[in-house]
Amino acid sequence: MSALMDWLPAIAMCVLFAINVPIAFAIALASLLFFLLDGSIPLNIFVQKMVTATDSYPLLAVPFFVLAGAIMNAAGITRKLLGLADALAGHLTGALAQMCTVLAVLLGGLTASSSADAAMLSKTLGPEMTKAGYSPAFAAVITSCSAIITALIPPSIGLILYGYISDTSVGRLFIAGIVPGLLLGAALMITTYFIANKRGYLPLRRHFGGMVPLGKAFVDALWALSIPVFIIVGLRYGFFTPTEAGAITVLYALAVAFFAYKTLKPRDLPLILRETVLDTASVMLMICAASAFGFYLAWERLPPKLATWLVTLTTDPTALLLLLNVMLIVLGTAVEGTSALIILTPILIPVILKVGIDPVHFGIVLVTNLTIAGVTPPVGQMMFISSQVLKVPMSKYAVEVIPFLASMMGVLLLLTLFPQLSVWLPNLMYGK
Amino acid sequence: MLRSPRWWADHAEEVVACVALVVVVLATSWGVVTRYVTAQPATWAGEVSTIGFAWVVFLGSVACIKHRLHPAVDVPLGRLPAPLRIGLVWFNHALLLGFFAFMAWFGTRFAIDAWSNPSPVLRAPMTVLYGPVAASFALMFVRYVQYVLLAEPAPEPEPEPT
Repeated sequence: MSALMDWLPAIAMCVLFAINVPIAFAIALASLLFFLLDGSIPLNIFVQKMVTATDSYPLLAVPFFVLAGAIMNAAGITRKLLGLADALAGHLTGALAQMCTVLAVLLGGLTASSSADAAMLSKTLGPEMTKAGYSPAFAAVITSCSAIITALIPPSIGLILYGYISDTSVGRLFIAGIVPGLLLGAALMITTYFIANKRGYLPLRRHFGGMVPLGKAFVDALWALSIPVFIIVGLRYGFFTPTEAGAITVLYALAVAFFAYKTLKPRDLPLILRETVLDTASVMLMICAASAFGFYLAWERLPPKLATWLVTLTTDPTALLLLLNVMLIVLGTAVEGTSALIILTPILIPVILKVGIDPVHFGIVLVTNLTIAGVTPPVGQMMFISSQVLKVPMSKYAVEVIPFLASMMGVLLLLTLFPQLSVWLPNLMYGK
Repeated sequence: MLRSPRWWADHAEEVVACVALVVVVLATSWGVVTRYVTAQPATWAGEVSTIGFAWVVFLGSVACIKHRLHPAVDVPLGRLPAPLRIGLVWFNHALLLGFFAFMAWFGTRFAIDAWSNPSPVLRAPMTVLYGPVAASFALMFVRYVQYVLLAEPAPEPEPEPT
């Protein structure tokens, strides 16, 4: 095919995006166009490629961790952590907002979906904040920004998808997300402190409550807190794969919900399963379509061509990462994070490998960047969720999010410039 | 509680996808358990899981059409002149319906051809893996007409008795 014909399916995909065709179908249609234009490749391969993604054992981790999160949210296991967040942060300035971030860090180890956490945080702490005199826009911003932490602290859907597409160890990616997740939490808490101080958002009590209430809250939350430890230890010592960890987490969450906390009833299960099916299918159909699109990219050797072109701009890994970050931030304002991750990972991986960037480091930068996009107007899934729950217009959200965006961009810059923040812990646990 | 035929017609894809999800969780967990507890790990568990996963994804995607959950790039088409906007909307409808029809037809042919190919472990016809593609795109066509073109409200699950 000529150069224009080589790019035609990719151009068609962008045009279909622009006219509001759902992303999964836009990618599938563009891939189909490639098969039809080429003519020499059997169409059977198109269908085969669409199904290949579901024939992947590693990707089964996606529905498992979504299901485990849905069970824990429905059973109120995640709310058990609220007491611990209160004991840890209730004495800080802007206590409810600080508790929101601490809770998000704790939730990060239980659930895998930032959107589910944004909904959970805005429904539980959002109304409390507005009752205590916080502006609704501030409450919407802190609940949505805190949910970003979930994307980094294991388990994480974004990291599972990135690991699958880029052929990178999901175990390493999980461990690599811990330090960046904590850094992001710290940045949000510092930003909250300054804003809360200025606006007079008060602590819930004057002083730290002491070790006894903290210990009691810790014991109350112990069943829930044991889940991330169980996952990390199981993965590190090879007891199970990330996929198997997901399935066992589901059974563990069910056992805790039914027998330890006794907060779940069998009649709750159909709704939980339905929620999981819908969340999983909307993401996975994009992966299926991207699998067919990946065949087109590989056939036409477009990613290596792009890599060669980008390397003519710079061969310095840091400069290239900064350049990619700017591109991703711009793209993130228009394309939802998971969709962008699915589309961009196969294109960018050859580029970063060519200049010697560690794929684990890149995965953390990519997932952080695209998840931050979830709170940037005009398109941002977590922004939509928190704003809808707290009835905040986008114009007010857009102003209130600025200081938090600035601090998160600061963390993103740190993660970009210092790969050790991401790769130190996995290298320590798994070896180089 | 007995459900009406209309309920089953409205929720068939969700019911099948939810059952498939349960099968996937149980099969994968059983695979882990047998690896540690029995001398003979259940080799079929991985294959059952991935086949079940195909049913979860493709049947679940039909439900996503019904609930309009497939994400799209948020482009403000509302700012375009009305005739152009309406034209684009109908172009999208036609394009998607054409795609669903093509995939239902081609997916059916492909699934039938796969009948003679056995799966690696269970030796079941590969139609069980490719079948959901045909079934789901045929159902997507129906749901798209029903819930997007005819704008029927998407059915919510009935509250369970307390």
